Amino acid sequence: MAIIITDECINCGACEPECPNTAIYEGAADWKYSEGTSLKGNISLLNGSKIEADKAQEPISDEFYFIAPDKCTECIGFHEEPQCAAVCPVDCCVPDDEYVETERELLEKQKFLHN
Amino acid sequence: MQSFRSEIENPVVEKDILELERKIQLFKEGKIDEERFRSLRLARGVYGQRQFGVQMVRIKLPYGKVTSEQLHRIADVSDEYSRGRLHITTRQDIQIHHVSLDRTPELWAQLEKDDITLREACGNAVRNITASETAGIDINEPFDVSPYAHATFQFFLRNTICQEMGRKFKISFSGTDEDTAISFMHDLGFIAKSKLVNGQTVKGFKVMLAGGLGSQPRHADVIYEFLEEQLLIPTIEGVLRVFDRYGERNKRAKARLKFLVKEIGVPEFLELVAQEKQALSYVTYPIDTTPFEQEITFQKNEIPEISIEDTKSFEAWKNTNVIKQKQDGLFAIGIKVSLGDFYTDKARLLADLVKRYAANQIRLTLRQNILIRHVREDLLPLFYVELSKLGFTDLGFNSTADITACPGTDTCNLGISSSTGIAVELERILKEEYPEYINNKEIAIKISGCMNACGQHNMAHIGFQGMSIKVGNLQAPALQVLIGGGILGDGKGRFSDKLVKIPSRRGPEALRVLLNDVEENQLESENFLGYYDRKGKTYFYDLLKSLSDISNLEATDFIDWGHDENYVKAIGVGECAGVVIDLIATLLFESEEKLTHAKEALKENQLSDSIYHSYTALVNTAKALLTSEGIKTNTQAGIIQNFDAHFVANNTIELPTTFAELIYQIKEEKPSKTFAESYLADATNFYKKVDVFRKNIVSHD
Repeated sequence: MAIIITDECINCGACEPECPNTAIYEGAADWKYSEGTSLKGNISLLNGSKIEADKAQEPISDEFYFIAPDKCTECIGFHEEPQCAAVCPVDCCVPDDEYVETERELLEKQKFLHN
Repeated sequence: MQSFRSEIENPVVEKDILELERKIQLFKEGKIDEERFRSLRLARGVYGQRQFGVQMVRIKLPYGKVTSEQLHRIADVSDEYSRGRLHITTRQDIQIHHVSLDRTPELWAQLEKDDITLREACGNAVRNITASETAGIDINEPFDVSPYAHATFQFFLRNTICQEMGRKFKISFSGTDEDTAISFMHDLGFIAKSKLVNGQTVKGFKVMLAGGLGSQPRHADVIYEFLEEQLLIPTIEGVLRVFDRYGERNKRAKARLKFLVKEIGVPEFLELVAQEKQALSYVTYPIDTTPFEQEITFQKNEIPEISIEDTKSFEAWKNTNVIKQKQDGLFAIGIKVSLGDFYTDKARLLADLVKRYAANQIRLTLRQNILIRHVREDLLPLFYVELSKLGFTDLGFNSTADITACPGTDTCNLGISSSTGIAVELERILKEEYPEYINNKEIAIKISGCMNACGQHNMAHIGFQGMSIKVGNLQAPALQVLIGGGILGDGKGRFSDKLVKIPSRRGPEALRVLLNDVEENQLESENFLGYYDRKGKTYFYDLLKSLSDISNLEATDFIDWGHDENYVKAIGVGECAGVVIDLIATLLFESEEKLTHAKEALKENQLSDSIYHSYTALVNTAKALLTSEGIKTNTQAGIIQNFDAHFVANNTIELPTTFAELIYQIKEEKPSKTFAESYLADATNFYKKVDVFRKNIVSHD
């Protein structure tokens, strides 16, 4: 599963620098697939959709820090546990029921992001 | 409230206080915007607190210097307007709580009688200037940094260039390479250095830029190994001008200087500072140090006969709490103030003692303590006896057992879980179970109630940060345990690693596990940080991991330290920066105000000030139009660029040059009278043009 930041977020920013995939952004900020990954140019995502890695994507939340699910591997391949959840002072980085993935899928995603 | 009006001697101060009073009135009548009012009161030291309807007031005490008379005054004010408690902060201020907003102007006027200010103690301003508490008495210092800290305070207080910055700005001065003022975590940190040039000793500073703690700490960069003293003020001015122009304003979490420098790079930042050279109010600014070099004088009082019965305790106290000064025969006495809290009855007795038998001055320290300076050796027994009566002789000044903690959930809106409660408990455990740490000046323990790190937990050897843990539908108070930070000296420092999150109730156990492990495994040749590095982060994570298990919580785990009832998470929004209001009409109205200020300053022949007011009027006017079109206005530099792109390039607003060329004359011209006049005329014309344009649009809407 990807991790999601709930609306209990207090916008402290503690999670942002911890993410090994640069999947976490401040509310209302544009984000890119290429940031903090080895993705560049035209890419096909694992679900088949084609996308420009350097293109600015719409923010997922305007109010709180958010996680781009396509870039979240729950820290698989890097750490024992999701680092955002470990440092979140109010426990609001939780598994996202809408993006349930197996450990193998997450590992594959990790390889895709950092080939 | 008439009482204070006639009593203030300094007209500038009087104007300030009357303005605060007037704005409070307007706010109550609903005539000024709440956010605007908030940013005004913050810049006057008046802060919100967790309890509804009352204010915290921060008293700005440059480098923590307080005379006996000032301490009496602060005590009187606390009794009259607050509740008799004085809280020493980690930046050498004193905070008092539960003050009624209506009474803040009167309170301020009282303080000013002894030359104490509230101005720019909070808000987006140059905050209190801190300095090593031993400045002026330290055996190892090349020179006393106090006069430089003082000059910096005076020069930038009410200075036009730093009244509406994007975020706060912190400056520190360290007297020696020990760097006790922690330069590596300040926006600008200075360390005293001296150098021989042609046989002459020259005074100067190593300069550190853009450090900071908070949830994303950043180590400052060295920008000068040696900056000569007369360039101190011009250098700070240049940095502040660049920060004002290029600093982020909309995204509050990214608005500190550290983010700007991280984004553009140090050389690029310094290049921008260099471009400000023409605009500076002084090319060099010599600082008069003589007021700080007067002979130390004492009152001539009869010295009472003192006999000390418990000589062992006296010696132990001398050993941990007394410091030999560089002045022959004089000593400084450290008072360990638990949590930085002391009370007015004792404050008065301390003030009297210092006046009668020392040289009438104390310094509040960065670890929330008090340092009495200039005590003659033969008077140490007297001080020991008198301070004992006040409960001011606890052993372990600046030791491991001297824990730093912010106020946390006691009074602060931002606190997540209790910092003071756990600090008291840990101090008790150290005293009872690990008394050897009372003599340990190597390891520091620091605690903050949230990630903003006012308790400096993420630069301490051992740190704790307030958090909360979800357990089903319940919330338990929690602590993040951090290890491995510290001051390395000469501008270098370490931030600690975030190890593990545990229920708050297990904080004491975490400390025990850690200290026991250190005792068992640390080599003689290693210091604490050396041991931590040898074992590595994972070792300590594994050591503490079992404490993070939340499957076995008990009822008491839901009650925070210092409380009787179940923990409730209640986190408000920070006040440090008033939210920016973008109402176009308000912005244009402010531009008018700024033009008026520019005119007034010109009349007084304050040329730099006048020019800067004209500059901010230009920026503000441009911002108004950009806002009306929904265009981003994150920084002043961005506003200037966007205005050209959206209004000048397509001749929507016709100007003789680009807007950038018009406004950046400020960088090209020295602050002369001719320029100040022409620049004001430019700003006025620009405002008129925009105003007409805007009125046309509004009338067609």
